[in-house]
Amino acid sequence: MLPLLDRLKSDEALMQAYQAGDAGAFECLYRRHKDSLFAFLYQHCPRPAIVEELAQDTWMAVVDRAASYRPEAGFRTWLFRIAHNRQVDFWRRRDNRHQPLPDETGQLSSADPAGPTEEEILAAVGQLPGEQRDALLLREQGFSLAEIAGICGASEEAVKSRLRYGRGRLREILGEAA
Amino acid sequence: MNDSDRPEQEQLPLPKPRSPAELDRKILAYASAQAPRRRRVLQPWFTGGLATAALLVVAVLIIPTEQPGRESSPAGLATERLEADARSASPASEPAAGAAPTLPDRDYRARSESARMISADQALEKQRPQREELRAGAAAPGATTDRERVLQALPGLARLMEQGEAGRAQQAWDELLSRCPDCDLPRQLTEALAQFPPTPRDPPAP
Repeated sequence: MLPLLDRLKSDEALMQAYQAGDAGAFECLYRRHKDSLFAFLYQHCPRPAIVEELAQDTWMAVVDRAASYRPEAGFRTWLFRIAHNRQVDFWRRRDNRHQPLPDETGQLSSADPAGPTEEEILAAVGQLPGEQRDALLLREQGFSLAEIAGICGASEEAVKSRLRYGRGRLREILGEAA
Repeated sequence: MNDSDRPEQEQLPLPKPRSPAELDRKILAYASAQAPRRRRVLQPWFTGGLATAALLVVAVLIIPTEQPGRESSPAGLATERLEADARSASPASEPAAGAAPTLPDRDYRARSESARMISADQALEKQRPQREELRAGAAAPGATTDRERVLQALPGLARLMEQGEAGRAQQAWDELLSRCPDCDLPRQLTEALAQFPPTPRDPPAP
C-alpha cells in the first residue's frame, strides 16, 4: 500500500521526489499512469507482446531520464511523448507498416446492429494514417490540442485537422464495415 | 482542458487493457535499482545538538580568557605583572616555554583570581587621588564638557564687557576659543568682541 501522502502529491512532485532518491514516489507515479499508457499503446497496436515491449521501453526511458526531467513540463505529457517516440522508432526499425490483425482485433465484417464493437473500432483505428491515429488516440487519453501538438511535434492547427480527418475516416470505415 | 478545446466529446469505445503484473514488477524493480542515491540530510535533532555543543565549546573557550579589567587597564596590567612575579618566584612549578600550565586547572584559576584581587586593590589605591579629583569636578554644576564650561563662562565674559574691562574680556575670549574652537558662540558676543583691539601678543622669538 502506497503512503497516503504520496498518493496526494502531483505527478511533478512525485517525479522530483524520485529524482531525490525516493523509489516509493516512482511506484506511486507508475501505478497512476501505467494502465492508461498501456491502453494507449494497445490501441495503437493490439499485439500484447509488442505493447509490453513498448511499455517497458517507455518506462525505462522515464527512469533513465529522470535526472533531466524538469517540472515545468507536465509529467503525463512528457511520458506520452516518450511513448510516442518509442512507437515511431519501433515501427521505423522494423520497417513494418502497422496493420490490424484480424485474429487479435476481430473481423471488420462482423456487422452488429447495436453498433461497432471495441474490436471493430480498434481495427478501424488501425487503418487510419499514423498521424491521424496518434491524434485520435491521444485525444481519447484526455490530452488537449496543445498537449497533443507537444507530444507529436506538430502545430495545434495540424492536430485539429488530423482529428477532423481521422474521425471522418473512422466513420467511413465503420460505415463500410456495417 | 476546456470544452472549447474539445469540439467532439464523443468517447470511442476502445478496449482499455491493464498493464500485466509481471511487467509492473519488472519496471518497478528496475526503477528501484536505478533510483538516485538518496541525499543524506542532517536530522533536526542532530543539527540542534551540534549547534548546542559548538556554543558550549565557544563559551568554554571565551570565559577563561575574557576576564574583566585584564586588558589595557592598570588593574589588568598589575595582575599580569603579579602573576608573572608569582611564576618567577616558584621556578619548580613554571611550565616549559610554549607548554600548557602544568598546575591543575582549578589551582591555576584560584591563583589567578587571588592575584587579580590583590592587584586590583593596589591599582585602586593608586587611582584614589585621581578619582577624588574627578568626583570634585563632577560635583561642579554642569562641568562635564568643554562646551558646557564655555557656556557657563559666557555670562562672566558679558559682565567684564559691561564693566569695560576689554583686556580681561579679550583674554577670556581667547581662552574660550582655545578651549572650544568648534563652539558656536552667540553672534552678538562675537561681534562685540570683534570691536576690541587685539590683545598684545608676545613678540616672536628672534
